[in-house]
Amino acid sequence: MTHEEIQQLAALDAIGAATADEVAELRRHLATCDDCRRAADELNESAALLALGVDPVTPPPRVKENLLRDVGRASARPALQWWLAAAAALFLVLFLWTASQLSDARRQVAQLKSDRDKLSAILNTSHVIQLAGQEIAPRASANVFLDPSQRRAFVFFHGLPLNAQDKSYQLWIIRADQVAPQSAGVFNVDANGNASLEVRNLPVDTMIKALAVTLEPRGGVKAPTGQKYLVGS
Amino acid sequence: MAQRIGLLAIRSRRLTTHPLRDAAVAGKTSDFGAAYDRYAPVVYGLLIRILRDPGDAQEILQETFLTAWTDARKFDPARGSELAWLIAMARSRGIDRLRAKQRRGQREEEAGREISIVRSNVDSAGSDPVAFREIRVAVRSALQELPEAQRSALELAYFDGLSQSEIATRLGEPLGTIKTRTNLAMKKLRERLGAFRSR
Repeated sequence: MTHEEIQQLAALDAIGAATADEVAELRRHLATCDDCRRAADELNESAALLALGVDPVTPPPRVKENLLRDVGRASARPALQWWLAAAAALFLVLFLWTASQLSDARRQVAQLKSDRDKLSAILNTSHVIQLAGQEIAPRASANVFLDPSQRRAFVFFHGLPLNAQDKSYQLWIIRADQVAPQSAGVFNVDANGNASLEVRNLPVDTMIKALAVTLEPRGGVKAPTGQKYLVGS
Repeated sequence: MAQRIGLLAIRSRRLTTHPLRDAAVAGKTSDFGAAYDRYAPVVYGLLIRILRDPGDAQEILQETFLTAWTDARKFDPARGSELAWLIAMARSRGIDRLRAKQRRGQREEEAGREISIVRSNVDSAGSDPVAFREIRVAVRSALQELPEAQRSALELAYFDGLSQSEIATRLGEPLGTIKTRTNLAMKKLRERLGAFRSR
């Protein structure tokens, strides 16, 4: 179509007399042609001026009253939308935060599960030695989970008296083939009297005759000097 | 000096301000009301001419101005005056309502009553601004200068919403003839009203 023909379509469109196909053709052309776009704008505005050829009529006052009432409601809406948008944004942030927390938690759970699986594998093959509280700490106890395949043990202590700053508890292994007890680690208990210890390079389990816990100077000693708190075999 | 005054006078005919848009964008209801007072008689007169029913015309009038308030940012001053924008919105809605009513066949039944109502409601708009009065005179004289056949082709399309083929059928003329007449009429209108457009 020539520019002349397009402007003829624009003239028809200005008074709403172009068909749907003609309007589509016109829009396509106007999107890329500034001259025709300008001509179309002028034709549209000229067509609008036709309305001024009609006698003006003052509308009844209630139209304005209703309009201003509606306008008031319409302007109240953007504020509401602003709050809605803010609430939505907050919700989104919370959602993302929760999702990230959840993902962290899932990772932790997965780790714990994997640890538990390892631990239960150990427990299934381990044998447990229970240590009993002695006279000085009758309510104390400990469970020693021996993992002979790895030559290690996990020891959980409960109910031991809080050790003083300059003292440490020390775990001893009494071997079948040696008289002198062998140190298996030094530990402090928490406010509840609990502690745990992982012991590595254990002697072969058949060689373990007994275990005992004594209170020793801070950092431990080579041979037990203090009172026995826990004993088991 | 006289030349200067003449220039100013010509400039003042152009509708270059947009109080309605400004009020809506600023959210100033009272300014919007004042702009409504300025434009409403023009828009309402047009809607009465199209719909011939004050109830429908008032409804569309209110809708049009409410849209102007909510969509004020869509108005582009580079493409025409805000009055032209309002008029185009009102006309399009008015023609849609007219067609809907025609489909329902109500118009014929109520025609007699409507015309009498229209007449009883028309009053001379005392608030018609000077700028509009000038344009009004120019539009009317431009229309009067058109040959009768061109004018009726233009008016049947603009005020009655008839398609070019409907006009051809109604007037018993070939479609091409109607299109040519409409085009000639619009061409003259564009030339004659150049001084009153926003650019």
